[in-house]
Amino acid sequence: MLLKSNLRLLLAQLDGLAETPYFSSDLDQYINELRAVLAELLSRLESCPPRVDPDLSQSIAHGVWRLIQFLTGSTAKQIPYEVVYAIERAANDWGTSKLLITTAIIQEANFYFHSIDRDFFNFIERELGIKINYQPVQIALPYIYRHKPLFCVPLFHEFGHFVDTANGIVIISLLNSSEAVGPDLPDVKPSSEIAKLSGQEREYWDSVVMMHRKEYFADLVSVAYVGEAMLGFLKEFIPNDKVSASHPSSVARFKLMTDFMDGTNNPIINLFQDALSHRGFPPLTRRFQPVAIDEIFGNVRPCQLNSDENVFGLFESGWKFLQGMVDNPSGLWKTLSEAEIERITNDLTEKSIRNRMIMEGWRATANP
Amino acid sequence: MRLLTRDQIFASLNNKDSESLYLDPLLNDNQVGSISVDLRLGYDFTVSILTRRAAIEPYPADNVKKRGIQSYFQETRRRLGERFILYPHQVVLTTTVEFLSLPRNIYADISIRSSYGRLGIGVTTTMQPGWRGTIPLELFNHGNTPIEMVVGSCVCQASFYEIEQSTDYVGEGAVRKYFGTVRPAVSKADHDDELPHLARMGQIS
Repeated sequence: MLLKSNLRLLLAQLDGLAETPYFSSDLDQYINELRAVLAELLSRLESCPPRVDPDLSQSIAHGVWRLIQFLTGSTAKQIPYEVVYAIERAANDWGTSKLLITTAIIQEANFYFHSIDRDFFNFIERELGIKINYQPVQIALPYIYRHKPLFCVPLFHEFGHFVDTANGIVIISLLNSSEAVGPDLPDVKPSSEIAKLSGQEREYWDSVVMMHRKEYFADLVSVAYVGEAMLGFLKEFIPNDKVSASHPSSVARFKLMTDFMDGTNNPIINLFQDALSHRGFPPLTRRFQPVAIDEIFGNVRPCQLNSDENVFGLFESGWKFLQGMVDNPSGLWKTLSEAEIERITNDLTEKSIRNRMIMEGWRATANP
Repeated sequence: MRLLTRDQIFASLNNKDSESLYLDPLLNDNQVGSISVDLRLGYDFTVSILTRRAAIEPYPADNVKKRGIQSYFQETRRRLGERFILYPHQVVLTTTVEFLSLPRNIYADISIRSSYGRLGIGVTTTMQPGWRGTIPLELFNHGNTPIEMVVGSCVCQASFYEIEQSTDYVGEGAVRKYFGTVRPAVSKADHDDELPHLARMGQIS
C-alpha cells in the first residue's frame, strides 16, 4: 500500500512541477519523462496480478524521489544563477555538452555536484521501456550562501569530481600508477608497504588511495579555476580536518593546492597531468585571470568582465578584496561594519557576473 | 540646482572619474532621453504574503513576540525576458536591472514611465547623492487587474539633479541601511533608533 501511495504522491508532485511555468523547455521534457516512469510503474502495480516486481518498483520510486528533490529547488527560483553560469562556462573546457542543471538549496553545510548515474536510467529503460533522454547534473549548496558567490567556491571542487567521474581521470591514474606503485600520499601507508598487503587489508588501502586521489584531483581543478579563493575559503571552512579514509587532512590538501599555484613540482600533480594527457586533455593550468577590482569595488561599483577567464578570476580577486577590506577598510568602506563589507563584496561579485550574463544575452538576441 | 540634460548625462556616464554618474548595464543608448534615463525592471522580487499575524509590527508591544518583517515576504528570481505577474493590492519589492552610482552632488528622482502609470502601477522614490546599488522599486498595482510584466522592460525613469553642495552619504555617523544593495531588501523600519523612545512615550501618556 505504502509503495503505491508514495508513487501517487510523487506523481502529484511532478504534476505540480509540470504546471509551473518557470522551467526551461529541456527541464519540462525531463519532468514529463519522469512522470511517464511513475505512471507506468503505478499502472503495473495496480494491475491484477501486478506486472512488476515490488522490490524493483521500490528502488525506482526511491531513485525518482531523490531526483525530485533537486527539481523542487529549481522551481523555488532562488537559484544562484551567477554561480551556475560560472560552472557552466568551466564545463565548456571539458568538452561537456550543455549541462541540464537542477539546483537544490539545502539546510546543511555541504555542497554537491554530480550527474545522475546513467545506469539508473538504463535500468528504467530496460525494465519499463521508457527512455530518459536527459542527463541532469545536480548542484546543491547551503541556503545561507545562495547570495554569497564567494562562499560557493566549493562547488568548483565538486565540479572537479564531476570532471573526474565523466572522464575517468583517477581511474586512468590508477592504471598508470597503481596504489602499490605510488606516488606516496601524505598520511597514507606508503605504496611500498601497500604492495606487500593482500586480502581485505589491501582492499582497504587501495580504496583509501583512490578516495584521496579523487579529493586531490578535485582540489586541483578548483584552484585551477578560482585560485586562492578556494584555498582561503577552505582554510576557514575546514582549518584542521584530520585525515580520514575518504579525505586527506586539511594540511595535506592545502599544501597540494599551494604547490599547484606556486608551480612547485609535486609528484601527485604530475600523476594527474599524465592521466589528463592520456585522456587527450591539456595539462591543468590556471584557467583564470585576476580582475583589477581595487579601484572599482573600492568605489562600490560592480566591475565589467570581458571573458570567462575574468569570470573565474573574479572569485580570487573578490576574495582578496574582501580579506583586505575586513583587515583594513578604507575610502567609502571605512565606516562600514565587517558584516556590511562581507555583504557588499559578495553583492558586487554577484552583480558583476550577472551584468555579464545580461550583456551576453542581450547581444546574442539583438538580431532575430 | 539644475536638471541634467541628455548631453550632460552622457558626458557624466562616459567620465571614468569616481565622482561621475555610473549605470551598469546600459543596454541601449536610447534609454537616455532628453532629461531622463529609462530604467529596467530587475530580476529579483520580494513578494508580500499573508500570515497568521494581523499586522506587521515594526515595534511590537512588550508582551507580543516579535515577528521579523522578512517573514511577511517571499523571494523569487527570474531571468531577463521572463514574466512576473503583479497582482492588485500586493506589495512587490524589486530593483532596477541597472546598478546606479551617484556623485556626492547629484540626486535622482525615480518615477514610473507613463505607459506603466496608465496601467495603474505606481513608483516614486528619491536616491540621495552618493547612492550605490540597484534602485529599489516598491511596485504596487492600484488597478483591479493583474499585470504581467516582462523582466528587463523599461518601467521607470530617473531624472538627475545637480546640487550646489556635496554631501557625504556614508560619512562618519551616517546610518545607511540599504547602501550597496543589488536586490530588494525588506523594510528595516524595525531598526529605527527612535522606536523604543516613542514606545516609552506611549506608555506614559
